[in-house]
Amino acid sequence: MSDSPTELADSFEQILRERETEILRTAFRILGNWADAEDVAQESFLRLHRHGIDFVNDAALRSWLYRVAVNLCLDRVRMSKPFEELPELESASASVEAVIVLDERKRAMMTALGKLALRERAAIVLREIEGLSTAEVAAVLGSSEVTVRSQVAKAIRKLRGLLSGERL
Amino acid sequence: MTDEDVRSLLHSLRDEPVPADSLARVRLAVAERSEAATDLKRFVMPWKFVGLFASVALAIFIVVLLRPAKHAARPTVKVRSEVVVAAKEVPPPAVVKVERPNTVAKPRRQVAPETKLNAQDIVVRIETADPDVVILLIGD
Repeated sequence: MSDSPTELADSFEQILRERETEILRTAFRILGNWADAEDVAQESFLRLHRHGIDFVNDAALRSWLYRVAVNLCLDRVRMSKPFEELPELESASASVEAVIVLDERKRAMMTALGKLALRERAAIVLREIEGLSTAEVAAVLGSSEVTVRSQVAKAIRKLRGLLSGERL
Repeated sequence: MTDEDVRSLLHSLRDEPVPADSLARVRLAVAERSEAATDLKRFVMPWKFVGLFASVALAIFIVVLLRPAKHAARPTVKVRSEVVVAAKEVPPPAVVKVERPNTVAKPRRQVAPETKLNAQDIVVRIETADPDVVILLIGD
């Protein structure tokens, strides 16, 4: 990739278009509200712009972008109020009843996600929602694969308990 | 609810669309701020070179200015001597006569064999400036 201002801007635009949805969605899953998620996504892409897009491959770029976004989310959660806002996502399901049921379950899931420990939440969002591999999640969170597996397993157990109405 | 149910519910969250207005806000804000950063970069870049060039020129100027001249006289340092040392006359070195045996033989003077002449035979005797050379004119 070249470093000349025009080419950099073009490639940056392309990366922004390709990655903005996943970064915004990840930030929302971790933070629980769209306003903060938008701020995190903006800051992540601006950091990418400052850093430059000279990465060895697409996976490295993706990992870098996730790492920046997740770290910004973790910093923001540590400094601010707890996970409150419920998601208002559109659904493309067929029947109205099914849509309502699914929406309810998703809402419950988002609420349950907000009750997880911060790093468990980040691990499960990246692993199960965003579909990153365990190794990629470990690279993003700066921990080992064993730790990630343990965090994900623990998070699923907690979510199951929360969604079943069990006390944890 | 099983772990698999939890997983499938989590996977279903993956496909959910992100609100279009949120995306648009992010895109717009990033575009504005990145463009501003690029403009600033474009403005700053030439000045960076100017600054670099100026500092190199200044460094060269200072080096040239402070470089000592090639044949500069060494600074003389005046030292005030407190102690006056009396000038001593150094005696001339003693000459010791060493008698050496004359080992070199003097060249022998070659003496021409004397020819016995009678006084009556000599007619004229001429003495030259050289005492060794005498011209004799002998008659019969």
